[in-house]
Amino acid sequence: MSRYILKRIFHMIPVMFGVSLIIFTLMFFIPGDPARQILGDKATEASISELRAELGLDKPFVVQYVNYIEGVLTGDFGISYTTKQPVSAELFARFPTTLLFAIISILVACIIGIPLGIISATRQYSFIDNISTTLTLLGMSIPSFWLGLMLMLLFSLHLGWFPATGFYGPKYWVLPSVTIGVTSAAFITRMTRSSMLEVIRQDYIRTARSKGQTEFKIITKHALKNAMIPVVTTIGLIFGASLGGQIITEQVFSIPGLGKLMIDAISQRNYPVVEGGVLLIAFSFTVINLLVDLIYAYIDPRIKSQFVIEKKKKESTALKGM
Amino acid sequence: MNLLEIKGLKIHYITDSGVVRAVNGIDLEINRGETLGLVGETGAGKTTTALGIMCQVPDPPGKVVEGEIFFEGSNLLEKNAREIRKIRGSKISMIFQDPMTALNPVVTIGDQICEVIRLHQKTSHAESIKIACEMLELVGIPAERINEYPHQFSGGMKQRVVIAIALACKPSLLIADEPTTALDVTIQAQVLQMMDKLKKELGTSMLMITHDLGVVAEICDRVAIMYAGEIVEYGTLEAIFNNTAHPYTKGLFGSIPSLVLDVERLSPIDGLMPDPTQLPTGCSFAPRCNEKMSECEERKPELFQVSPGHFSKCIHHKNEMHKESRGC
Amino acid sequence: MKIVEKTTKLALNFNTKKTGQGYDVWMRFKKNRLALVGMFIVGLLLLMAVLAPVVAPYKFDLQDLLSTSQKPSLKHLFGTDNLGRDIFSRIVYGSRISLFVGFVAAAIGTLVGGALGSIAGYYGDKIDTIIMRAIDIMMAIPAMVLAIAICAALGPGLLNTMIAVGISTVPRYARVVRGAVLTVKEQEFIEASRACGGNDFHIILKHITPNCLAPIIVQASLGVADAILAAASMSFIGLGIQPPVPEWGAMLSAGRGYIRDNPHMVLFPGLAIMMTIYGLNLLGDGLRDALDPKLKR
Repeated sequence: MSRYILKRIFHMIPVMFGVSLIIFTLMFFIPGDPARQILGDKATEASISELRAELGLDKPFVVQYVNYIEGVLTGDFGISYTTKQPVSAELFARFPTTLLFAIISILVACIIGIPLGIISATRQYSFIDNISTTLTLLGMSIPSFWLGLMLMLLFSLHLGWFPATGFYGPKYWVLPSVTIGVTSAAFITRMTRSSMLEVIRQDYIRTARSKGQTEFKIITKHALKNAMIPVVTTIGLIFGASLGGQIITEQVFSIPGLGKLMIDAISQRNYPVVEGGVLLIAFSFTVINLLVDLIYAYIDPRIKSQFVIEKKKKESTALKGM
Repeated sequence: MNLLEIKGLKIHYITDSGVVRAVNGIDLEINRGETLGLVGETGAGKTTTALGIMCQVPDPPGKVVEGEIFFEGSNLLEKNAREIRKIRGSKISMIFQDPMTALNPVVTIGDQICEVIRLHQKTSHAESIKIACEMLELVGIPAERINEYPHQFSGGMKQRVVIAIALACKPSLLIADEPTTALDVTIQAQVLQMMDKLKKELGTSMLMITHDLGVVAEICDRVAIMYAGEIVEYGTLEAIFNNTAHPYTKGLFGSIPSLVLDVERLSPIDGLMPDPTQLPTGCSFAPRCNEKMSECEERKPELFQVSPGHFSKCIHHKNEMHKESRGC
Repeated sequence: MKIVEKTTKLALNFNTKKTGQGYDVWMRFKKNRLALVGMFIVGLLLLMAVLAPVVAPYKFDLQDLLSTSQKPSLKHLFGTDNLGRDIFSRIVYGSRISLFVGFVAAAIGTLVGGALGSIAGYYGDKIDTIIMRAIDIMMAIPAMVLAIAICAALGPGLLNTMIAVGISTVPRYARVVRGAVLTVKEQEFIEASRACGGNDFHIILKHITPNCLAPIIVQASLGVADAILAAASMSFIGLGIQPPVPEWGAMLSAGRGYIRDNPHMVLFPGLAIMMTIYGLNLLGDGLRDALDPKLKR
């Protein structure tokens, strides 16, 4: 198993290099001169070119990229053009908020989505199922930023139950998490429902029934574990999608997270922050997907045993070699 | 009293494209310790009958429309879900056709055997594991493999596990739905032999569903031939094999190559089974029957006694019999 | 607008084909009430987009500074915004933008992704490895983040938004198409067709293409919805389509500041986005169920 984890971590390296290349290239070709941006309109040509040299902006693309990568590998994401602070410090100051936001949202989504999907599937075409299917599709169709605004309008501006902006404690978490959670929950409900429907038609469910097992136990013991295999993948993917959605939602609720930092940075042409932000998001997304695959292997013995067999084979060949 | 008595069972599937009449009023009985073979082509309603006995007809779209199923003297169809669950797995258990999909892939086989034991017997966890190990040894799997997952077993081994689950609570009736169809020929014989041996040891009655007359000849005491949801012939193994009455059964025998008789060619039954949503008004076998008369297409034939304990459902044959008896 | 019409024409042709598979699909589709609702919503939107000058009571950029920020009334069905523009008219014109962006972005994704995916799937080996590694890298960046980054690089505007959203969806199309090509390629009927003397051209035309079409159509119809949502999101944060173009996301963004006193400025554009996406999702779901009866029971 540990061999598998190592292999997967090893796979992440070229992917992260690729991501850094894509994002660096995109930022490199943005029209406009960051040096001019930093110094303002009144700056002299001389001072601008001086700053360009200082930031290394006068070097060719490849050199700039190599310099950037060297920095990133030592934890140096460059200097923010606006605050003159190290980008890494800014990113890591904001990252916990975004991560917390993401985790709460996905928890909300799972708590709503998985049970709803199971109930829907076990009572296919019932009243509950029809209601849930309709709501699910609506949930997938609601733009999260609009839902956020509407929730804010109702629950903070009119009813005053929750604060409208910020992210400083459980009371602040509710509206943003629900905003992101509703859409994610809709996807999870759908996936759980269809996966569950597939599983409960399998022969082994019939076998369990012919043993005299109760319907409740059949669902919880036999169906759920099988049905969760594809759902876990979906949750991993949704995590990525909600990281994207969060960028927008952080904007709506003025949450001091990575998303807000990045959007502000884009409008200020503060490339190092944008690059660092994208890299950090891509990195977290990749790590999440790695975790998902590990959970996958944990649930599904067929995958787990593949590695055990591989290992055994290698051991036996090693023994023969001796 | 018979262990199982089915009277006038009708099971229909109600679908968008019409009502599928899968089982159309069958009568069956199984005595204690006896093996009844239920023989017929694919789609004749054999599996539906079995699911009916297990009270496991998928609903929707399936519905038991009519009939009674007496098991140990009480009607299964009148029992509530809890009472049925008590019987399933402990008194009646079932072996399904495809062992590849009948076991839960993410649960160890030990857990799957223990599950049925713990459901029906008041045993501790450790005891149930002990029983599960015994069952595994009984079906010819080393007990140390108890913690393995289904994918680590071959098809034949999986079917042995399924049999172990089915027999774990020593049921009085075992329903085997084509238990060997999905297996290799060499494995088929092994599994059949083992089932026959275990059945005799445990004193279990068995309903053997199959389309293979070879299997029937090997282990059945009595045989029911099913066609388009009806039992067309019914009798002891000898009566069916040596004194075949119904044209359909004759056709089945005509379709098997024989090692003893040297015939020019096989004589298969022409045509296909009728569409179960639109069964013919008369005898359902009439369209394919080479002994049919005009009367056959007009009214449903009734079961008549060929000889004591041997029944057939054929108008033509009945008339012949009458003529003969009058001739005497 | 041409592409919108073309796509619908294509879809209609596909649905109403009286013989064979197309007819079956249409029969199955027709049975699905929700899918018909979806088709109705999408049809209505297309009609609204095409007939915008007729449907809208005012021009989308007509400023009436005497009646700014008015609540919904008979004169202004959805009220007016802070510049006195009729919100209903802007939404009607906005349907042109949103549908156009959605269809073009989905078309970019389908074409580029489909091409990459089918090349990777059909040729396999090294080409497959290279393409799929590149796709993996793109997949490591959440689509929304990628779209934002591309849009930041290209600058705001209608065309750039479409390109950014389109490219950000390339990986998923590529994966779907590659998967479909691979499954079909390994099916036995391909082998059978080859054994019967069918050449590559015949096999691709007769077997691989039709069998890959269903997942592509489904992905594309759901992709239009995704693209509209992504474009609206980007306009909302000020990156995508800029005011005064009556894009729904941009309208929402502009109305945000007035949400406390004039919630109608935010409510209606959002509802418009939601209904559009709901309709497209229903349609896409219905298409999937109709095209792939295996998925439904």
